[in-house]
Amino acid sequence: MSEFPVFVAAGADRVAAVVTAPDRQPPRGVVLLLAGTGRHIAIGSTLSARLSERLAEEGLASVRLDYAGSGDSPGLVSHWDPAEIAATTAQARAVLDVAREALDVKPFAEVGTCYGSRIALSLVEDPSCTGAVCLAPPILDVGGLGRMSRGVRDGRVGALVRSNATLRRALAPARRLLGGRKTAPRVVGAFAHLDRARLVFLYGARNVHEDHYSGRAQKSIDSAVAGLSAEERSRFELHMIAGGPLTTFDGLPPEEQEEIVDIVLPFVASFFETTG
Amino acid sequence: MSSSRHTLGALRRYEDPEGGFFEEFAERRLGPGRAFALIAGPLREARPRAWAICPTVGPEQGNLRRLEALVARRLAGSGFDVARIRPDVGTQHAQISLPTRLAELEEAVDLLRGRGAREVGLAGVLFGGTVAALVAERLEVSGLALVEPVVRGRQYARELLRREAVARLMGDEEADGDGPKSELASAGRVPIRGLQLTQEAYEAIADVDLIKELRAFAGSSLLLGVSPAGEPGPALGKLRDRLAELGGDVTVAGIADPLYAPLGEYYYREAGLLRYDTRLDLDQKLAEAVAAWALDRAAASAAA
Repeated sequence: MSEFPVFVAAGADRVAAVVTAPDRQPPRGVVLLLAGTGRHIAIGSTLSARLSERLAEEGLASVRLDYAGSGDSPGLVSHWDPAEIAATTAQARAVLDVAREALDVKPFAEVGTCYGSRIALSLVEDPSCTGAVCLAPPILDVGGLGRMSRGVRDGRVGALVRSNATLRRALAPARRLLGGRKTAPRVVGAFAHLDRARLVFLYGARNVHEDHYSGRAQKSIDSAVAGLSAEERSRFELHMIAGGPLTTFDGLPPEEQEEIVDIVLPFVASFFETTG
Repeated sequence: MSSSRHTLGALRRYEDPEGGFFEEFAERRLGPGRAFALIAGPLREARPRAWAICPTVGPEQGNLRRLEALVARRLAGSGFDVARIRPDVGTQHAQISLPTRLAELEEAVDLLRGRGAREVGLAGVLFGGTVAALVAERLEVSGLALVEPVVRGRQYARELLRREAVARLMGDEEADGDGPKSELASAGRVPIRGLQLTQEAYEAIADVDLIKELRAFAGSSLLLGVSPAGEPGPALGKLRDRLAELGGDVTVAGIADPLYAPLGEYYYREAGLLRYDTRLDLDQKLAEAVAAWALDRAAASAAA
């Protein structure tokens, strides 16, 4: 296995990334590893670094990155929103293109966690994408009214309401109305490519609420899946796995991290079964 | 493979003409865990003193990477070559290990000297600052820039266990508040937010007492404290006294920040799926303070 740390330009941004190539050449494909936006010890996250080693043993190359403004990538970013992924998707696309070109390999798959899974789903439309494993993908977006209400909630008015039980009760119906969450278009949009690519959604059973898996999210998925053909449906899987939350992989005990890698790896390897 | 090596090798470095610096992944990897070494430097001729930035040993290192990168870029833009250590997550780095970090920092100093640095200063945040001070005793270095360094290792080691206990309780995990401490005692190891802490590693950290271990370093040093009032804490005062006693030129400064979360802790304010960075302003202030002090010392040294 060889590791190549690089800086890749993406429009006005530049990102630190690590391309990992297996000893076996040429690789069967490239796996784009997309982290969430939390605390990451390694470039691209602990999960990405661990997976890159194991994927190399499977004859697969991979690339992991720090999004611009995080970790070792230059830039300053004041907030992260899973509904705003245009810039990070361009960064991910840029490092993927660099890896594919340098290693002269076309098919690719993706592993995304939380925020990173939204980027992964947005790249599934590429005809060379064989599949994506999404850990704790957020299914729902906060709508316009929801954003407004969050602004109020986090301000002084919100503090007053939180501190007063009577006000809390009186405003409960309005809170439900303004909770305003809707299915993210990129999530259901990716289902349109199940004729060719596979999608696997994984959530951690422990702290499932932290993995963004709610009753409402489940209904959204059920509704999207209902419109699929039997063949397309066979290419989509949703699993609840023990442990978690998957959104904070870096903080899980090493043994549990290893178990998750063991679960993810066979899915990714299977995406390349016809390419090797 | 040779052509891909060539293509990817060309992308190890980028230049930022506006900031007046470059960044480059060194070919050499550092320490037993083969950490990446990231070099930042000026686009003009470098000053004689270079800097090595040492990450801390615990899980908080993930929350300090951006700060270390900002410090490196500010120093590089001010004319200094800078090496920063980027642990990867091979077997060595799944563990909290003081010897590993010491070896990496020593090799980073060697890397800078190999690139032509005549003097090397060391920088670090929290326990990274502690490691820097320990290496300053082992190697001939000329400066120390420490942000909230841990003076007593025992306090830091206990804090690692306490934070793990709190995280378990908050994560609805089946654990009592004393869990990690008794787990370490009974099993000889305990996971601390994804990193393995062994009894041996715990003792190595707990044995550190900078006031006792600093015996010879007499170079210039900057001690930066962060608090809502902008006042450096009492531990920094003790360290200042010790460094001055050894004949060093010590600058102590405080930076005021409301500290949404303690330095080294997860610093995003979460609003549903949105995450707001509460550390941007402080990280930039710290980077600016370190670079300004390094420039001031360089000017004083040139004048002398």
